[in-house]
Amino acid sequence: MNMWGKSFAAIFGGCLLSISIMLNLNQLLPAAIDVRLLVGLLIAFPIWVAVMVWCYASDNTKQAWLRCLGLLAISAGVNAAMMVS
Amino acid sequence: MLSKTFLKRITHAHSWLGLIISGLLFVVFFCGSIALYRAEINEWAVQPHLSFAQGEHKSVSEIMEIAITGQEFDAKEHLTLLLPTDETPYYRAYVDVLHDKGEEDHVAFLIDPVSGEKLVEGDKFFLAEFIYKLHYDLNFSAGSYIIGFVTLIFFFALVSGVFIHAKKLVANFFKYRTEQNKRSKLLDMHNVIGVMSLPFTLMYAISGLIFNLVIIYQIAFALVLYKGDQQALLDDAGYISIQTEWQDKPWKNVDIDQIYKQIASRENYQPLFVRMYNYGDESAVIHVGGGMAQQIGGRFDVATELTSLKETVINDPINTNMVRKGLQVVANLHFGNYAGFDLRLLYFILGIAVCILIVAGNLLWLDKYSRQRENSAKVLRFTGQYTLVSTAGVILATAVAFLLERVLPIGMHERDQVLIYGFITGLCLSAIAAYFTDNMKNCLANLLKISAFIGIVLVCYDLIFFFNKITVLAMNGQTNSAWTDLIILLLSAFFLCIANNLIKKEKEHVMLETSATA
Repeated sequence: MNMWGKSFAAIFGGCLLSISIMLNLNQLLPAAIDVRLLVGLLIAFPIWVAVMVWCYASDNTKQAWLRCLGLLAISAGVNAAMMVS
Repeated sequence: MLSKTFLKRITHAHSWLGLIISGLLFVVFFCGSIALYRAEINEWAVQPHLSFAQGEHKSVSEIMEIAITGQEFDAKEHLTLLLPTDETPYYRAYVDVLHDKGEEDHVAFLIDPVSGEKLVEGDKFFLAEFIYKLHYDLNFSAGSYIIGFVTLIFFFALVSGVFIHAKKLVANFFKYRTEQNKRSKLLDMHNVIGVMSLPFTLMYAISGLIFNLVIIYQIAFALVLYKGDQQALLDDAGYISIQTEWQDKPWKNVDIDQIYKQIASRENYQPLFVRMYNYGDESAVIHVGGGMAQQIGGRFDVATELTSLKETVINDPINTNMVRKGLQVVANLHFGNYAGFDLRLLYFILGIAVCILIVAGNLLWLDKYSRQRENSAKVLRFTGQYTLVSTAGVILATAVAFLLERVLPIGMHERDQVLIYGFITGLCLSAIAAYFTDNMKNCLANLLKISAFIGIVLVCYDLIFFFNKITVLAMNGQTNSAWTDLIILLLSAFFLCIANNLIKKEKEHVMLETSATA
């Protein structure tokens, strides 16, 4: 059960987190839009996999989700702030 | 320093996830390695059946007229010509036709560039395309997402593998203990291949993910950054679509050949295809696209309105949008088509090496699982069968597909479907063999032997029925058929060697056990 729970956190949490971080990077990077899109495309998946490693290295499913959601809350907060500004 | 707990958990995830995806990952790498040569395989399938006239080529406009003659051509859609090359000396035409819902929307032909004769329907030879489709979407539409997630887990397996092996990455770079026990040998094999192929596998994982799962980020970006305006995102990414509106007035004084020649003669332009939009109408557009000489990932796409001669540059080889240029480089790296035959051979060897890495990984898992007494014998047997079918079974099924591509009559109804059923039958037969066998090693050896036998039969068939044709083709510089036959023969010999080796070792093992019991 631990593996299945961690896998859900790794795949869904990792996906959401990588999207959120990419959206932030896309707005923060000082480059042309096409360069920002390409950079986003190239590093989105490594970020996703990094989160997967982090989830599988957790003690249990709960910790894996807490790690994902904690970071996602911060990143989504920055997303929201940028959207508003 | 990485903690022991971290490494233990990562190793656990690495082995379980690796085992789960191993079957599909083997299909991806095995079929992908073969698909590197899909153009050559297609020529091997097509050319021995055809004869080409010698002389001056007909013009592009003449070939277009020939392609649509006798067809219910839907002029409001497209007419596409893939141009002849030295290795593929014919036009491949795709004609969109009027059709009811659920019916095929196009017909395809191979056309002799000199005589203009329609040689054969283009979709009849499906083997190369089928193997390529197995590689990226398992030959069904939702399969691309399944392969995408398999690739994601493969990427995780690579990164976790680096963490697990990090301490010994340099020290054990070439370590391979041939004289040690089976587990050490398998582990060394897994590690050595994993480390040596790491840049290649990382590139494949990232590029494969971009091809199959980019839609996730595309949707997210379109929704959040572009407020749902997908077209704005595509514009920023440099994707220019050709917009044409049917005028219902016939074109006048249009010179397709002149426009084509004017584009094709530009410096470094190497046209690969011509596509017509609204053929015969005043609003007609000709789209010429292809590669650029002396540029990795360089390509051009130019669309010209035939009446007004207004030109739209879709892909500018000098001032390219970074997303398009970047993705083109990623595609070139993935397909290994930025250099010659030898680079693809290196890719092929590395791809097959990864197949061996996958099998070694599964055998390691089986070995470890069998040592733990509390574990179920049923799980162990099922995993062995799964490994057998997803590896040797896939090899056998591919051999059957190759055989069918060669021996099935060209005019056969639904020839492509028969080929797919042949592949599935090969897979099912190997599953039945794996289910009933008491000795997995012997079963593996037998499946490899049958695959090798099919390969040898295939080459003999070509020698008997197509020897003269293949020789003439080779003398005219079209060596694909000869090379493909030679490689089939070499691979058959390779599989035969492995099979014989397995049987020999199994016999030695049985003799040792018998003498120990005595």
